[in-house]
Amino acid sequence: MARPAVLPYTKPVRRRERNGELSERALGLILLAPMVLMLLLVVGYPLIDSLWLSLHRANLASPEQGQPFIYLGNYIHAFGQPAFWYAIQRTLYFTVISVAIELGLGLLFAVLLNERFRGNLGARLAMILPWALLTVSNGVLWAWILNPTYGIFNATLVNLGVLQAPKSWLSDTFWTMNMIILADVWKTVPNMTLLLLAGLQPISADLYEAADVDGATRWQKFTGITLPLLRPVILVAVALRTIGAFRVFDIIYVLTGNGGPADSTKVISFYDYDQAFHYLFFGYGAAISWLITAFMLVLIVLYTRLLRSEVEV
Amino acid sequence: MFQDNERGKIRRRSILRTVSRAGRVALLGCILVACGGTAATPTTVPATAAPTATAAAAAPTATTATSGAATATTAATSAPTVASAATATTEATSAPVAGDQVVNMLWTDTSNLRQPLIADFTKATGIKVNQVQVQYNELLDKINTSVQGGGDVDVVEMDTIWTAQFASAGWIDDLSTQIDDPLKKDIPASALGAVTYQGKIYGMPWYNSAKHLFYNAKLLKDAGFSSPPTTLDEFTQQAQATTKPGHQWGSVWGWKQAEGLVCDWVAIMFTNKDAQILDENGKAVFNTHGGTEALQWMVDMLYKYKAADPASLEYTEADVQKAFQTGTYALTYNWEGDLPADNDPTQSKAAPNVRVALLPGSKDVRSSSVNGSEGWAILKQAKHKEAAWKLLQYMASPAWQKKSAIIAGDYPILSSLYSDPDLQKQVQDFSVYGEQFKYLAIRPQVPGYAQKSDIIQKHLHEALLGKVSPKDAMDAAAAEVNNASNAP
Repeated sequence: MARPAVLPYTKPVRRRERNGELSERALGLILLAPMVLMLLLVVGYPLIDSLWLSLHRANLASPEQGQPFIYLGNYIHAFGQPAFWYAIQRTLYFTVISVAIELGLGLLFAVLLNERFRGNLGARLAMILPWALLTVSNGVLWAWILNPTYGIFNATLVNLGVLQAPKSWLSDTFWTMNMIILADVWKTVPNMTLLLLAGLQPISADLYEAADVDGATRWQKFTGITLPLLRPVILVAVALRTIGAFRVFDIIYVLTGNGGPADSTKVISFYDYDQAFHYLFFGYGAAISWLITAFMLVLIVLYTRLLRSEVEV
Repeated sequence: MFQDNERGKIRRRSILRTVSRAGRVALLGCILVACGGTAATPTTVPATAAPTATAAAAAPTATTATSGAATATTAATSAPTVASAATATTEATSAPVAGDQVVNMLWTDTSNLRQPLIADFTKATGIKVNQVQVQYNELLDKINTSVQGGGDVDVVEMDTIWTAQFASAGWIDDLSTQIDDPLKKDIPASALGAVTYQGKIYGMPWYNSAKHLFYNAKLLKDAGFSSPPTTLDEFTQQAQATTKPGHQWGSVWGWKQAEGLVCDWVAIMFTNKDAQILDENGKAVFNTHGGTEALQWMVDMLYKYKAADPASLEYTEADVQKAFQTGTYALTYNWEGDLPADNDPTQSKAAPNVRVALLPGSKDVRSSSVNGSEGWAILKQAKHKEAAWKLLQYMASPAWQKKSAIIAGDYPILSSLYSDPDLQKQVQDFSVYGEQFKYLAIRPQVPGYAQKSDIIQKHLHEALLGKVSPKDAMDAAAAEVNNASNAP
């Protein structure tokens, strides 16, 4: 009789423990229980509560109005507000440009730092330093750099002759957002670089040698070997950064205080913050948070789809 | 763990390998922990958690030890003060409830000018004061979160524009019966009005406050002016004459998109005797009653006369003070309390030339300024109401009011102190202060003011940036204010 190609599957029998010791499975559950409990309390309960709140009108500055149930009233109100859509637009601008720059610079630095050269360790340390700053400190730092009266940015540009007089960058509706992107990118590129550098490690040197033998140029090696093999890591990194950039708040709060010159830097988190914490429209604020979550879910689903495709070298 | 060679000795290389492995794991762990707060968590937690966490983190860390070097933004911070701010907040939230020998207060004395007064209070009554301090632009948010979150704060600093909101929401105690008549008679109407809502007094006035004209007497004299401007036209003239492109500017303003912008606009607007912001029904009428003209003057100062520093558009009042102290600006509007620092040679290059005068008016109005009086309110949820009331009484007493005028430049709320010879001698230009109170405009005291003010600020800023004409900006602002419902 021929040996079967695949052994028949037999369900593992659960051994009864003899001396009262916990089975592995039970032990696993017990060890996980505290964390699950904490997650339920800290994440699960606020989630459900926030969803429930978003279905009510809850204006905490007028408690005499009570908190009536208004179904999807808050969501419909959000869609009707031009300020809401403007905030989404500003957020998308920030996200797209900031992630694009971070990806480009991150790839460049990762590929560079992957080479062997003297001072490689020093270079890696220098690269990672901006990430160690608190976002708030980073914001204040850049606010001082960009200050028209005593900031070094203006001083340098004026001395080089690029500007005639110091420019007030943070009161220009076009430049403020771009300066915020600059400050945020400066701080977050190390994050991206690190991820991409880690993704470069498993790529075997044999592939590059084989490409050399075939006479490939550096650019061809980069686009033919590095990029395709790096694709899963790039997608993960971009997905994480997109979600982070969509939620940006603190750097904008520090640099502009309230959404910038003429609301040009009022991203969706800021709009939500205003509605919930300034005007105390908590029901509306909760609805906006869920809308933000919905936007991000769409993005995540998109990325997951992209990730599923096979990679061939 | 350690590999032995044939003779059983532990090899150096294997030790190094193990240690480096452990080190790398530790480093990775530290990095993961450090970056755990940024983008690395794609959970579906709604974003209200994020602003709450960052707002709570930003507010306590946004204090400064002294206003010496740090300005730029409203959230300046530095490493040593982060630690002290954290201790201040933890102190405030964990105060013992032992028999009203302690009181928790929330205010904006971030420059620590008034600490000697608190020390005096503790010496006089034996009550310990736990303070939480934030910058003014964060105060409202901090009060909101304290009330909603059930924090341990007893007394809060309350700006005149918030009295209506706090009172109508039921957050603060009615103190009408507790303030006795002699005290009420001694307080000018502007200070008492700042803490009154619908006829009831909801707080203890803390100081009178108004914007004043600060001028650099030396710069004006060099340009040939022996006295400061008394009308807006004279202001324009003097500012133009003292503007030397590249060296100095005639005027600097705090026109960042914040409450300070509305204050300046109101002060300028009320040089018109028919000015009005809201009518009796709460509808916006500022676009037809003086608001547009005021905005036009502000825009002209920037673009037509070029007598105002364009950087004004990103400055708050604190930045304006810093700028004025460089000695390269001739005129500005700012709150009282700046004078001592402006004329301190260790801090200011403009010393000792800075003087104070009445804000300019027009041919109909002698002077026009805006009321910024603040008071103190006791929260309904306060746990130490007795101690809180004692603190409020002390703050309204001549002991505090007089000393505060000298060390912090706060205006007394007690009319009797304005004829005090000591104060007139020790506080520079003291007589000017008392005079300005006769010419104060009051911002609307309605609940929902915060939202209306934000709308007006946005449109004012758009016009100041030259994006829309002043008339269009004011009309759009009025329309939006009238549409702003109280709840979605």
